Amino acid sequence: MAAIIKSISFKNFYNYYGSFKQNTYHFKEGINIVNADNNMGKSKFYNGILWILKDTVYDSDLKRMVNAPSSFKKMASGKALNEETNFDMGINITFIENVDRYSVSKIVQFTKVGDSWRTNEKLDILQTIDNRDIPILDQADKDKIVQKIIPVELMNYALLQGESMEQLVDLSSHNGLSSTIEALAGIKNLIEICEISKDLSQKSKKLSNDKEKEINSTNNRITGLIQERESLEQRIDSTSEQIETYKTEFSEATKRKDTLEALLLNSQNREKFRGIQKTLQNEIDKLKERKNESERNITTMLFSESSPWLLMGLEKQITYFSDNYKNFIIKLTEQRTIHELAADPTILLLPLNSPDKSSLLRMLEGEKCEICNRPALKNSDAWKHIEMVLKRPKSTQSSNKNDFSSFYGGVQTTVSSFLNSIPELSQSIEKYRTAIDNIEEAINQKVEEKEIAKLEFLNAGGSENNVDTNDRQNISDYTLAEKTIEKKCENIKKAENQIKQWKIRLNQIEDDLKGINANSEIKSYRDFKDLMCCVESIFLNSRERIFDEILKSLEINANQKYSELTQGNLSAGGKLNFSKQADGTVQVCIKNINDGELTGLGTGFQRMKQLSIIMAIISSKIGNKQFDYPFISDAPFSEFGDNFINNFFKIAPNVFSQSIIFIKELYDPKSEDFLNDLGKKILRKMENGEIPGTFYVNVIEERADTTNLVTKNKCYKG
Amino acid sequence: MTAEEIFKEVLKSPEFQDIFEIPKDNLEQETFNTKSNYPVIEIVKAIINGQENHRDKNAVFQNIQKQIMQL
Amino acid sequence: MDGSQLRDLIGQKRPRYRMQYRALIEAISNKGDSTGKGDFSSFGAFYQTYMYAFIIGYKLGIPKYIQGNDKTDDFFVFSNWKPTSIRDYIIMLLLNKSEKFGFKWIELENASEDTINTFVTELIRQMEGYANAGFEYLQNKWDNENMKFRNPFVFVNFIEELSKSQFSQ
Repeated sequence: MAAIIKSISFKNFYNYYGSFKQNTYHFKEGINIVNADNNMGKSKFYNGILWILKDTVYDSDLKRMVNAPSSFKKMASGKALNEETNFDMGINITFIENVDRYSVSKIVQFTKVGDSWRTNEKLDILQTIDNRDIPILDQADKDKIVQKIIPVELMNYALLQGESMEQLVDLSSHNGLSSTIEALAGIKNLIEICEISKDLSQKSKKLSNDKEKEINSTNNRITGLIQERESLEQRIDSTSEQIETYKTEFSEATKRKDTLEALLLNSQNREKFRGIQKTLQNEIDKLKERKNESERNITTMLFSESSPWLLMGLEKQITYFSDNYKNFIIKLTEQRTIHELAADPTILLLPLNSPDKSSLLRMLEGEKCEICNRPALKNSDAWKHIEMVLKRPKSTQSSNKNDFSSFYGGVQTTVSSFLNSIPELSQSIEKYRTAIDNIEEAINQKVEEKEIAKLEFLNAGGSENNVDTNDRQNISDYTLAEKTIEKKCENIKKAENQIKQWKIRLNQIEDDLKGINANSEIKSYRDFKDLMCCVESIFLNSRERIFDEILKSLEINANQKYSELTQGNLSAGGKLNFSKQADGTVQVCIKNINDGELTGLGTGFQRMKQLSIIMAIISSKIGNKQFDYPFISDAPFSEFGDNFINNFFKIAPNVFSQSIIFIKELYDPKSEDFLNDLGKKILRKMENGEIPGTFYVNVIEERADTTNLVTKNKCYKG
Repeated sequence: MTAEEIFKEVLKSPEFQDIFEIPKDNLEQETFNTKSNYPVIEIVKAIINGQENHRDKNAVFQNIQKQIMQL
Repeated sequence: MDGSQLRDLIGQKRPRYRMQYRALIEAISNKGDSTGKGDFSSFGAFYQTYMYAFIIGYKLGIPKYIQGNDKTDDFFVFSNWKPTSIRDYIIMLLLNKSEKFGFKWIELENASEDTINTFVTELIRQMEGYANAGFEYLQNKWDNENMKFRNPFVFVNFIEELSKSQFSQ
């Protein structure tokens, strides 16, 4: 049995303020759960383990792995940095390997110098032999002991961080699953043997060819065939090398594609929602401009030439003016008529019933008043009166001084154009208001839609700082990778076909040479060459065979795990298919029952796939080897539903002797014990022995502020 | 895999029976440390040995050429 | 004197406003620019503001004449005010009240030049009175209900309020 971690302790490490003793987690075989909400130290805990095993930590600001020494200050407890001038920051792991017990501590001494800190890192390892702690001093020995916790070739599978799971299980490069299988089978020797055999085969070929040349130097036909053979062999060699290059390029493109694939869905979504946001923003801007324009236009509407809002409610004035104008015209006409009549000498204006001019003349001549019918003798008073009436002067009233009718008329003409429009103004204003309100409503709606799109964007991993080019680049790189894969496949196929043709020709040449030259000495060398070639092929085939057998058993094992993990899920998760690629790498995809590739599975299923492979590898028994190391995972369950989580806890104890899982999905901050229903269920199973292990819950001390965050743990099941 | 394990595994290859016509029983009796009557099996051993002992390739070749093939 | 001469006589005048309203006028006008400025809704040229104040004052019904000792200022000659249709409307509104301020149209037909000049002066005085009343109203709104001016419909709203009230003409 290999390593079992007995305890992990922290000293002034991130949220884990205080001494080792104050921050200790005791672990056992089985499942060890550390349940904590966000920002309560899960990933920090995991970082401690990474620090010891790989001297790296995950920087959540930069979102990538960094060298631990470059991150010491971030790793140190904020509270310690604020309150102390001299302190140690560190992690201790105690573990047992078979019967040996070890204590591994990585410590950094912090000393305040002015405004900055001086740091000094050390690695202390103790081995407990016969109850005595013996310090290990040799660096090489120290490194070996650290490797006992989890060996390098298994780190990819034993150390798992949920958030970077997409990139963690590297299936596509030769350094990925292929090399893991080779490591599992311990066929490193066999691989070297194949190389040696190939080399020896080349040597035997050369030997045979040289011998043939030597013996047949005078035979032109044979020399010709030999030269052709050499030329073909050279071409085959260089083309084979070319094929290797294509395979490497294929492999690199596949790796890129796999890396991007995980990001792609999110990239595509981000691109999509980024685009939607942009479109909506453009629409919002246009609408706002329209609204502004409309609002700016209000003044124009107030002073419109045809329907000025300014004149609302004043329509009666037009009628009033019109009446005034009409009366004015009547009076003016009367005045003018009187003037005209008076001005005309042919018209005499007399009171009503007065005699006219001819009658008056007649009366003067006749010396008789025809009105009173009495005589009016010439120069008598009566006669002089009649003469006076006749000679009465014309009206002394002169014509008007001014003529303003055109002025009033002009005003009348101008204002009458408003007669129909002014009554409509209220309605027109209301319509305008409504139109602006409608634009406002449309803006609000678009803003809401944009918020929704923004939320989707953020859910797809977008951030305020997320630059367009990253996602577009991902999408474009993905397309390029796909094209490259296709192209390289074609190239490989073409080259292999070419080699096939050349080999056919080579065989023909060999046959011809054998036919022409049956020299026994040559025959021995030829036979030797054939034999070495065959041996080369035997070794290669053996290697392939062993590899395929392991792959097959891995596939079976992984599918078993996959089926157990996905049991009870409403949608079928398909089955895992392991296939060897042209370049020797291994691809794992999920197939449906008709052997078609199952697409559209959510991230949960994708992680399920990766977890299954990991579990299969970790639990593989190949040859005499059993890989029995702690499985340590930070947040593997985001994207998993309760069903998955349940299944995991059911099968994990049978796969891993020990697993340490950091999880938030069992946490409920509102519950008194900080556990949700699933958490309580699992704790109960632990308490009644159904699930072996330990259960810790991290809590934040109430009085802590955000800079001095301090995590403490509660042990629910020790 | 140890040299012995590799040897046993390699002997499973069909070429021994198909091309070299070595009967299956004989193959099963072959061991890594005892000399074989079949040159092909001796060559296989020489190469496996050479790898295990980190021998120079040329030396291995010479061994095969001269000792086994007697060329 | 004929109609066009009378028109010219009126057109030459530069209606005045009290200097105390200068700041208000500037705040709510944008000289020569009809796009509005700052946070407030605004008129274009100053005369637009004047016409607006006149209408407000007219709706209120009580002119507040400029006194002899009032500090005043003026802007464009009346003939340059636009749009001409509204300018004429203002003339119309004043002409409708001409009897009230002592002049009958028919009598003007025979009035002397002096009388006509007096009439025009009085016409403008009336205009100034109503505008002044309007400015006083707006100043009050500005001082006590300043937030209203942030609403793009503020000037329409004032007109609407007054149209509904008892002062509606």
